[in-house]
Amino acid sequence: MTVRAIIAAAALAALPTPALADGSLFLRFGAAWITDRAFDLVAETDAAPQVLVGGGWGASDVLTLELAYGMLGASARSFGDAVESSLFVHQFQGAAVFHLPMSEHFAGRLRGAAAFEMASLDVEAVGGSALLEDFATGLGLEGTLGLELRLPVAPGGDPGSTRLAFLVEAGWSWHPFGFDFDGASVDRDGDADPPPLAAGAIDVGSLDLSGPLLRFGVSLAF
Amino acid sequence: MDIRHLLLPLLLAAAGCGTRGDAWDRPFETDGPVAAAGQVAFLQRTAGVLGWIDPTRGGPPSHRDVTAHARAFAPWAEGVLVAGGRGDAPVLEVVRLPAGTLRRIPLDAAWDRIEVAPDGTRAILLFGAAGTAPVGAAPVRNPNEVAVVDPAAGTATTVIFQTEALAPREVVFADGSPLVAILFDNAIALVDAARPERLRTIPLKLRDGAALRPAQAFFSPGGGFLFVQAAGTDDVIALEIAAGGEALDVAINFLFAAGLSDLQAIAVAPPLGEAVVALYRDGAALLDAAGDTSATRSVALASFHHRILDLGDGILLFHPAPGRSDLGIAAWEPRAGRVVIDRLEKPIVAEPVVAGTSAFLPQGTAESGALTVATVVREPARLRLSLQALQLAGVPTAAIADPASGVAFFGLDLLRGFTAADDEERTGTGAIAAVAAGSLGSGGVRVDAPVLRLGIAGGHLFAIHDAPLGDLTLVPRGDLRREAAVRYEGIFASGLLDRGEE
Repeated sequence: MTVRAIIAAAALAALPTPALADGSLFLRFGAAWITDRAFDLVAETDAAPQVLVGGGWGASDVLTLELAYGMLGASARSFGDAVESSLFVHQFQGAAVFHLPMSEHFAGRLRGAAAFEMASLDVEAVGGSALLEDFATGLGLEGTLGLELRLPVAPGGDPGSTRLAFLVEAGWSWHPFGFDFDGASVDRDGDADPPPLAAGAIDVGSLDLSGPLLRFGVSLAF
Repeated sequence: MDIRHLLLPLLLAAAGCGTRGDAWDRPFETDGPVAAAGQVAFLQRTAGVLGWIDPTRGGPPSHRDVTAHARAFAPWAEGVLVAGGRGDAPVLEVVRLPAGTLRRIPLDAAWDRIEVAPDGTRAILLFGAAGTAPVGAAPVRNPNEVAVVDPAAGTATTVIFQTEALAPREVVFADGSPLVAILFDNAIALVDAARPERLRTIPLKLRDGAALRPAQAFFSPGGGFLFVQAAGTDDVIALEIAAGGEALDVAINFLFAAGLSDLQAIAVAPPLGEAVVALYRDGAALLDAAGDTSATRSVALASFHHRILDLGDGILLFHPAPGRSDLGIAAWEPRAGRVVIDRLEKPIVAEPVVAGTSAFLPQGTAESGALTVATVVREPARLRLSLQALQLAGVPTAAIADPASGVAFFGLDLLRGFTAADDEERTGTGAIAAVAAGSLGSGGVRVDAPVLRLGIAGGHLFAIHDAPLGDLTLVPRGDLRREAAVRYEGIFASGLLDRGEE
């Protein structure tokens, strides 16, 4: 089995490799496995689903630059269904992808990305009227290794023309500063009469979203 | 098997891995907020997170981890006490505030109740009547086993009394003495908290086997006697406690007032010395602790009274029970033999509070509130009882007195007058009213929710509102303005992300 796989890989690598397209649009989805125990407040498992959409520009034969918008979210009920909490993270990501051509249809890829992230945390008592909200910003870094299968859109078409690509990638997501939710408060109607009392902030704590990640994706290169 | 066939199941399994611990599924249990060492402290018991607000500093509540198996929580002089830990490794955590430093004292049993002396320097750990054994604890527990705690020294000494009771009922601390009394169903236990080896159990069994159930007890102002009111007798039981010595020697006296019956309440007052005031259905008496009947003073009362308030300077006030239709009120100065009897306009709806030399008696209906301020004035020829009525903007739901300033504070519910159609978000639906004893100068501040309870922490007043995640308003006592008030909603969410491992 192992020998056959090596021979097949060598045969594929010997094939001519297509040139990178000028541009691409992609949609990726997957999960991040968050190891910080604080994540248990907002999720019943360690996995947080993630979606990434964006576009890429081929800067050279082996390098693509990407811009992407990502979303990651989780919610859970805790303490005998008394408390409901949710987390939603917006990611604005820039990435560099190095392609390692393996064959006409396969390419390996090494991707490094940095993201500006905005996270919102909600905590409320189930059936209560007060929603405790906070917002935090952070920096996300990630590195992944992936494998891409490229197929021409038209059967028998030019390998350099418009292609559909399928991707699987895995790696590690690192959030060096975490998210500090130390200013949570309930948003009250400022037009009420009399105006609401000054709100004291609640420090719910900090959350680190670092951990392994796995993504699948599809892209259209042209 | 081809690895491709394994890939999808592996991915699906990986997505669900890493489930969270059982603590997240346990019921949401909280304690407090309470005033502790000038802070407002609260405990999220299930998560094991202690939070506190420093009123002078402001800002978000601070928090720290405590045991995730907390069973009891109480303030002491320098912070809070948390009893918890697994049943096979029970601990008492002594937390100093506002620093948040924690000291852990191993315990001999998984007690689930903490009673702290009024000065906060000593505590007693005991079993509650309805508690269940925690995980890992012995399946049998002895209700006679208690711990005497000196939080500052970090010691907890286990002592065992000899009673036939199922559970302790109340704990009474002596003022200015380390003596502690624990009331059981049919016995009184005494222990010297400074030397816990000095202890004594006094069974309250009659010769025919019937038991007297202690209902109320007070140490005499000098600490030499414990006065006990017990169901089943009209006598006041006086336990005379011998000073010093290795053992705790106790002599028992039964005090009574000839011609008076149906004992309702007892009280002590420092100006009256080593004596007890007993309130009966048809009168009241001052009984000498040593049983000297020549020192007995008594007065006949036509109306039924419920409790005794000490207005200071040797004057006592008898008032009716909240929620009953009785209206009689009387003030008595036993040493001078003077009494004044009057009637209230309306029944009282909650236990009164005393500030300065006045008693504040909450009154009202389901939708409106009032106060009667009772002040006793000594005149050359008589005692005069001034009953002054004050209207409140809402229904009184909480009260607290500040003995230092002589101001009584009342929490009000302003929402009850609204109809169900008023469904928009409302502010200003609660209030804190302040009334000064003597001058009856009044003030207050509207807060954004009805007040459930009031507390005093340092120079600030805090009002607790009804909310599952905790909701309180903090306002300086000397500056009752909305602009000076801060509302903390969701305090029990403090530190939930920072809680430690189970």
